[in-house]
Amino acid sequence: MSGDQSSIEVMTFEQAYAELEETVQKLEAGGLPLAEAITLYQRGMSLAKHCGRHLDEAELCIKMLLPSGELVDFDADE
Amino acid sequence: MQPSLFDYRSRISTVTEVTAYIRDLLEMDAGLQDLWLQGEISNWKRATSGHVYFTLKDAGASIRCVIWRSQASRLIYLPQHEGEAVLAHGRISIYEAGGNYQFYVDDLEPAGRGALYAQFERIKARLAAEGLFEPGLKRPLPSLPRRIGLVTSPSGAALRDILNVLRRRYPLAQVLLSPTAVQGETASGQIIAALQAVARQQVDVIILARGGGSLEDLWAFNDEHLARAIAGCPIPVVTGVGHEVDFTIADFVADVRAPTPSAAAELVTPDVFELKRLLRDQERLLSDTFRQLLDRARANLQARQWALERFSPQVRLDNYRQRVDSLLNQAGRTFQHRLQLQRAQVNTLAARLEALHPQATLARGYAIVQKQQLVVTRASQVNPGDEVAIKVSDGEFGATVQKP
Repeated sequence: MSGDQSSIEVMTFEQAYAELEETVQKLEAGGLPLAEAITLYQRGMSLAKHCGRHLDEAELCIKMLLPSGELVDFDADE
Repeated sequence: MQPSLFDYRSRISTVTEVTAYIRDLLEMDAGLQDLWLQGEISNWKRATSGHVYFTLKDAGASIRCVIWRSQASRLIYLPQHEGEAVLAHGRISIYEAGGNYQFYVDDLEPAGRGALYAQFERIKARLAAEGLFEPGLKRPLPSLPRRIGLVTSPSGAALRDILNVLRRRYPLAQVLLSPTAVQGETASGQIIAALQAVARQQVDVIILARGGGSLEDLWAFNDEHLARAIAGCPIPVVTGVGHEVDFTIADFVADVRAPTPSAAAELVTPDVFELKRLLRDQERLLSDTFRQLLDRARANLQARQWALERFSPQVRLDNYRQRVDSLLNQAGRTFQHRLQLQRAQVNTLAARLEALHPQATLARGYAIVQKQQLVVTRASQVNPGDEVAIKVSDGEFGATVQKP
């Protein structure tokens, strides 16, 4: 298991979701020391909450690629 | 045999009659009544009546043409200049008053379209032969795209449609718009540049889109170089060009072809509601798995505890105590047995003792002589004149000792 509890906050939805799936698989596979399983479970729940927050709060971010390779905000309503 | 109108010896015809006859001849010919004719426009004139008159010609001949007002108003294409090559559909008949045959046109297209179709088929066949459309080359789309490259016009309806779908379905994504012209002479080159530029920006999938339009409008997407750029693109490409019925070369070579720009946006993203459901499933799975794990651990623990208890000193102590009890029991039983045995022996002895009781002897006629409570067993114990007591079986009486 990589990272501590606080690093979840900076994860993208995709990263957190992928680790959540991985966590469930690890727990399902079994054979873990209990302490490790508890840590995994707690981290999994944190990941799930983080994912849920992402889904609730997300707002589409649109950038435009300039010929220079620079990225600028793109206002779709213009 | 058909009678000949020109048999003037039997009949003289009027101009109207012969014209009608010629008209019948022309109109009986199916080929002339459903005809596609290619030629160059000349003398295009729209009369005040709304009818259009012109001449179609090529190097060797010319035909006068007319488009009635009703048909002319429905045409989506009108030739722009003298000499323009067109493809016209209609029927050939006679303008009786003028005495000339005409082409009555009901549809008109630029002649280039046929050439475009032919070119389209040539490019398609060549790329297909090279294997660029092979299903095996199609890459799967990422299930959760983080960054979506979007190659389209920054001012087109396609962009608006796509952004609407993405906002609704998957607002988690970051959209990277790589702007380009999507029609015109230089469009295909621009599209290729925009595609390659966005492919360098670490996007997970690329949407190549354009709203609906005519074959000419969409032509940039049939460019062979663009097709090769799509095939060579390191990122999966989804096309959404025109409407459902429009197929371009880009569609054939793309990893996925969507019927419209909106459909392309739907294809590359999961629905956020579906995602929330998936997330709930994962959460439940996590909790269930963890609970099972705890239950298993608890059951294991219980089993160990039982095992431990079975081998604990307390159990051994209890075992010994039980053995002592049973030994004591056994000892008790043995003791009782011996007691009974001894009691029986005592009883036997008592009976024998009983048999030896003096009373029994007295009963046989013996007597006990006592002097001052002492039993007299020898003669020397008494002197004459001594008072003695004589005990017989049923009582006693006194006596006085005589001289021997």
